[in-house]
Amino acid sequence: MVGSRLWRAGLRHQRRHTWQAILSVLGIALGVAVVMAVGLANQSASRAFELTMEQISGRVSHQIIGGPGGIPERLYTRLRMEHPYLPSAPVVEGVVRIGEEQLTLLGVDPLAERPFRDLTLDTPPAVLNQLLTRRDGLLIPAYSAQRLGLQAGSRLTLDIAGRARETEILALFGGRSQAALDGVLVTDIGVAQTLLTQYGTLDRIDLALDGAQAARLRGWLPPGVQLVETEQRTAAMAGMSQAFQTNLTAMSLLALLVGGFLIYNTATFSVLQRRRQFGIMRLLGATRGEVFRAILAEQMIIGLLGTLLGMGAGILLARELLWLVTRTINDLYFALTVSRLDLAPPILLTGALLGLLTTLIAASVPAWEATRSSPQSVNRRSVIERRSHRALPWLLLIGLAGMGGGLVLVQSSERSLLLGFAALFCFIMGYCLLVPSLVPPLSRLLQRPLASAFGSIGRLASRGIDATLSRTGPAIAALTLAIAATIGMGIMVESFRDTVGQWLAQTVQGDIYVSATHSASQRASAPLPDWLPSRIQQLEGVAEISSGRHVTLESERGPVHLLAIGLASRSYRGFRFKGGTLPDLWARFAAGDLLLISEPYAYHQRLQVGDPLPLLTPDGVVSFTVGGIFFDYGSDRGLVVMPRERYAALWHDAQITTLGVYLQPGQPSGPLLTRIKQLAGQAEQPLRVRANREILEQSLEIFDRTFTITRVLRLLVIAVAFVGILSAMMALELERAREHAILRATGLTPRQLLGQVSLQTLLMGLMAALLAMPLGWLMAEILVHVINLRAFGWSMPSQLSPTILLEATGFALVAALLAGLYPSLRMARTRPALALREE
Amino acid sequence: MKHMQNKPLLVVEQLFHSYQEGGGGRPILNGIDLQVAEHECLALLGRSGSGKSTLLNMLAGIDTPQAGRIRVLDQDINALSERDRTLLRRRHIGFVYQFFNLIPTLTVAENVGLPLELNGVREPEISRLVGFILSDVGLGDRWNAFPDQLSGGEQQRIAIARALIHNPALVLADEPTGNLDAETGEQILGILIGLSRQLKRTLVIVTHSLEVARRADRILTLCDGVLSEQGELQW
Repeated sequence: MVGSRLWRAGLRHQRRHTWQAILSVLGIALGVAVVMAVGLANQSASRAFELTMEQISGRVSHQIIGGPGGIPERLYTRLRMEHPYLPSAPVVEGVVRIGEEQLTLLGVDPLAERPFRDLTLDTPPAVLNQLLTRRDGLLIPAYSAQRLGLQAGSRLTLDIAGRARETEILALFGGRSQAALDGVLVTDIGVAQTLLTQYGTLDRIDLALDGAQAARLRGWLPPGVQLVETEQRTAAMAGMSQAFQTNLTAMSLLALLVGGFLIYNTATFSVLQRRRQFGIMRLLGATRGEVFRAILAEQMIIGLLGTLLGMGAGILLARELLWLVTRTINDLYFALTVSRLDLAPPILLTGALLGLLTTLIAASVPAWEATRSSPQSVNRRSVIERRSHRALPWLLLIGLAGMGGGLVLVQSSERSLLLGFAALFCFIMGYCLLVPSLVPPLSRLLQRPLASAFGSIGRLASRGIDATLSRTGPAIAALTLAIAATIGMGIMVESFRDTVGQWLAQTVQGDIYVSATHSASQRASAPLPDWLPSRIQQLEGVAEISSGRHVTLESERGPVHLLAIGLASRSYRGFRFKGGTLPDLWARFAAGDLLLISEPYAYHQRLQVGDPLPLLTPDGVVSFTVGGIFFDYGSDRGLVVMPRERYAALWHDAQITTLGVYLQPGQPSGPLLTRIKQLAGQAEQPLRVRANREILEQSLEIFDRTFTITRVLRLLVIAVAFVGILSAMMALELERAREHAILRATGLTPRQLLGQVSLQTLLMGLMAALLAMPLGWLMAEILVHVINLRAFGWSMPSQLSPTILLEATGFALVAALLAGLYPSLRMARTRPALALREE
Repeated sequence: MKHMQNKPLLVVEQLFHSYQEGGGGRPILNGIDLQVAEHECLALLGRSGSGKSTLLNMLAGIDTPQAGRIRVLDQDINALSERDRTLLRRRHIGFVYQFFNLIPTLTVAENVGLPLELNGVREPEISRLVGFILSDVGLGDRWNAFPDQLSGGEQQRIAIARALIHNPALVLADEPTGNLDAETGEQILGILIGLSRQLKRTLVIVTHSLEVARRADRILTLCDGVLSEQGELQW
């Protein structure tokens, strides 16, 4: 049992060093807050998706789905007539907007719904009647209505593919506290078809089948449609955003790692400051175990306070992160409305455990170190430093082994994201253990120039770092880690942005592009009017046009995003291939034998050039050959490209989604842009006409928006690190009060002392910045070449930006300087005699 | 040698120890043999660096000799595990240091009561015993003060109270007056030897001051790693 006096001594120490204790609590709180916030935001998004899918899928076991054109309505009629005993219900589903918010419009047949969903179960007969007879009636979840300030009878203007459609809310459904269907508007299938201009087609037919029924139905289905299991389809959709969410979690863990380092650091200082005290306790007969438990218990109180504070802050932060996560999922993957934070007990528990466990691990090391010291070291101050220096070869060895382990982990798997992150953490921890060994030679290297620039003060500053390695080593390592994290994440984002910029400049070869604003259908992009291409082609100054059709197809490998393109002569330049292609690529592509696939698609589906790729057409499965793999940073789900003529023939779909206009040489784009806008204005639905440059700018804007959350996390890591550095430096400088008092007593003026301390902390900042550069670069290499590739399937060159290095160095120096300022000011004001007293 | 008829409390046999210096070892204890009887007060005299503190640390089991045997209360302390050595020290040894070694975050009473708490004594009893011993060292009114509010002499008196409160069989004092002025040192020595005598404790004082050593029953001088007898003095 830990004696109460050992406890009391520890707690009073913390009370006497309030700022140090507050910073420790703050460090762990920030680390826990970031992990919890990301966890809760991710969980809330996943949970909202699951709940919505659960409610929408209901008791549906199978679904009949078709190609980009959907399923002909008559198939449902035939199904009901030929298999009347099979429970089935038609569904039309589209994306609509209210302002900036995306919602799902679900068109159902209320009379066929009972076996599947309870959405219209409680709807009064009069309302149900209205739903079936009116052309603008909707049902809205009570939760969404409350959130959006709507009620039964409210008129609601929906933005459907850029067109405003007036609707009326007939009734609310579900409880006010039921967030499960938030963002799902329910209407009759006929109304949905009208609103989404999807006459005569369905998105899917929902079924409740057993295995034998499913097998029989498969044989009955005509070519071009297929029967899929609902669970499988839902899992495939949920899997889309998995990599994105995993990356966020890993980044939040980085914040906790920095937080853990901070705890280690402050616990180490706290122990070092009291080494003598623990030695006395050991002299008086306290066992190693008692001292260990006393230190650990005291640090665990700090950890507990930090964890509780972090959990509260995490919930607040999660509310802010939630909309960022949801927006990114909406931008990149699928329409999702998440308005409620799901305070999932497992996440709260994980956050709490991570905080406490990190504290336990981080504090165990110095606590163990304190008990290792023999009691006689009380009277030998040099023992600590000698031991620190003696430990250097071991730290070097363990550090190198850690980094070697990272290398082994990276190479042990080509695809495992988890092993990729494990390798990253091995490299980080290994390198941090190397740092104390690198400090003495660096300090010796800087000694001469500092001595010649600042005289004795410079010599003292550089020698002091080496002489007090037990304290400066961990502080510099913590600072190194924090700066390296900012460098690594900075290089990754910048490299990505540069690559995307270059890729866009190469891909967007046309001078002007025309497309629909956005699509209401999740199967295909909104089509352009038939007459538009020929009218644009006839305009004076237009050399040629390219055309494209974006659709989502079903395949044996899950949904495939397909771009059917009619290439202009300049369009070919837009493709940059990874590795070799099949011979006569473009000729065979034009003939329709070959497909081109994007790098993420090839990575996720493990496809190579020459591999077959079967696709489901309305007339059955057609097998194609992969002719080349091109770089594409537009989607991490991947893209398949085929000639438009071939697509039109196989899928009986001649519509186009985008038009690229290539001007004649020397032709200014301004007048033609105006002319094309005038033409587009004649279309029924609003169209977007944009010049090449505008597309590039908007694409990079979207890129930046997507990475907002990464930037936010990077800032949070920096915040944790800053608190860590501040705390470490303050503890270090306060601990050296006696040394400073000796200098003051010897004749150093307060200003000189301020200069000496500031110089030393600056030097530590500089060392950390120098040491952080290789680690930051290493982290960036792993993030870019291992994590990004494994998570999203993107490969790209990493680019070392001097701006990021300068920023990081500046940050290190400012943080170090600020951190040293308070203790040196305090020391300069203190009477040396007070600090010189032994106790 | 009036205490020599008493049973030996401390027995040291053929103790060897050397420090690494340059290429080889510098012997600091070179075949030390020593017996300290129960209730005896022994002074170990020697110059700085002669190895007297090293010997004292070995007697307390906080340093280990390279060769030889130390028996405290019939227990070979070098044969004990680290934990058992700690428990032996906790129960049977008291320590007084030149630099007091009080815990700055504990009050006077808490510092003095710490050995009792480590020995499992309950709180009311601790308070009672602390009250007695603080009166004995003349600091009954500084119960709640922290060490940094005390003078050097007061701090050393607290250190003595702490060393004696749990009735240790053996009290080891390493230069107990080395950090004090002559007058305060004299007072402190009076308290330490007086209380040890009153409580019938065995006391080993390490010092480089002949004045201090003269207060002991017996003086041994440590020079070149060898102990030599200086004679018996009367209390």
